[in-house]
Amino acid sequence: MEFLKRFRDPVICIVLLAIPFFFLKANLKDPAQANVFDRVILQVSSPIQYVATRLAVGVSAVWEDYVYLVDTKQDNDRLRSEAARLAQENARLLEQAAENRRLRRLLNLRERFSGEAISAEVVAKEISPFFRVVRLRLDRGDRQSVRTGMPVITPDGLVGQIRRAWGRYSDVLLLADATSAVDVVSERNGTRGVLRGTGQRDRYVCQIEYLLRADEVRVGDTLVTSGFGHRFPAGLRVGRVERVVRREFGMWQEAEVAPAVSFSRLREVLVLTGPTGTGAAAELAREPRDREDREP
Amino acid sequence: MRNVALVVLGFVLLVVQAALGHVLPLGDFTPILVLPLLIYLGVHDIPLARGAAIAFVLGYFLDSFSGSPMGLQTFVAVTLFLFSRAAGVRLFLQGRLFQMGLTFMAGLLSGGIILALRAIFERRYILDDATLGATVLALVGPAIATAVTAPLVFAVVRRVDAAATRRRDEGGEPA
Repeated sequence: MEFLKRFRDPVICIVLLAIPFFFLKANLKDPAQANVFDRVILQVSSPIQYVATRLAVGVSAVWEDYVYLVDTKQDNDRLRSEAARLAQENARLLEQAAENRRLRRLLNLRERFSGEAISAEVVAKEISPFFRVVRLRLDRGDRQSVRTGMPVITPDGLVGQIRRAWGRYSDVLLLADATSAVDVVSERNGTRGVLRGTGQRDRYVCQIEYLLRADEVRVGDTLVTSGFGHRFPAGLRVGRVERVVRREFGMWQEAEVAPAVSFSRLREVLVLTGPTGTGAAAELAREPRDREDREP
Repeated sequence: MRNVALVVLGFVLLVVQAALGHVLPLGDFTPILVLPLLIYLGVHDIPLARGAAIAFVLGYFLDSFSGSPMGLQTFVAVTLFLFSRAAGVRLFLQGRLFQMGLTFMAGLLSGGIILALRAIFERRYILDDATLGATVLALVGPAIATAVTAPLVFAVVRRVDAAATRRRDEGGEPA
């Protein structure tokens, strides 16, 4: 008993060294050459080894999944941020592309136009309760020689005329305004009339007045400025006939006209500051309309 | 309580070691974080049989985690514990430089034992000119990495051991 107590620790140490040694020997030995002793060791060690390995694999898997998830979250955050940045960049580029198209059309218009004109940017819009623009303010005024009554145009056609100009700003009287009147002719057959705005606050619509009952006007006819009175150059596109009303009696008929220009989307315009050339205006009237810039 | 704390700490060190290898491209320079713990067991007032048993368990964990043949790391762990106990180098653990030096030597010894065991049991294992470079790197790399991390591991082990011993003394648990 005393002997066992005395040599207990060394014996335990030897056993703890011997066990792994024989485990190792049995594990590394060619199975064909394993003896009975090796097989017994393998038989005993296999379940323990299985449990230990499963435990280790489980812990490693949990840890690796955690590390993987941390990486995924970081990747996710980074990609979200990148996507937001790219979306912003994309929106900016689309806006620039649209602006580029508008300005190019305006430049083309100005180059083709023989009269004096200055480009102006819309800096403010007065909006009706129905979200329709009823008045525009431009960043050009009498300091840039803009005067009341000057025509305001875009590549789509006539916008209206300058209502008043002061300092560096001016207001535009839109074609659809109730106080606006423009002498127009039908591009198809030369039928003449006076186009007045109706001033409706929920839609852009004008009316042709003093249209003789005998004059032939059809839905879809394109109207251009006549050039009479020398206020507007001839041939500027004004709008399209949408409805014709013939009364039972009387010498006149009425027609409703949708303006050629979308007032809600206006950003840049040309103000005709000098004597206008009718040829150039006619050229302008023939320019194909850019559907992309039109309001639906 | 103290024994359990040391075994749990060894397990945690193994998990951290496995994670280090996963997260950082350390290759041959992955530290064996359990090694300083084994040295600590060898030079402190832990009974011989109990220390050897803890070393055995930690070695077995290491075998399970590292995928090496069962028994290899267990044998190395018990041997290192006994080596530390026999060397009686407690005083050398006072300075960081000595801690690193001793751990480096233990790392080399560990690698040497593994090489010897493989040479004995694995007939296919041949050490020649072609494998010499890789073998030396596999021997020295972990020893250097372990030596570098040794002061930190020693500090953690010391702290955990002190906390566990204090609880044991307060609870009247036998040593």
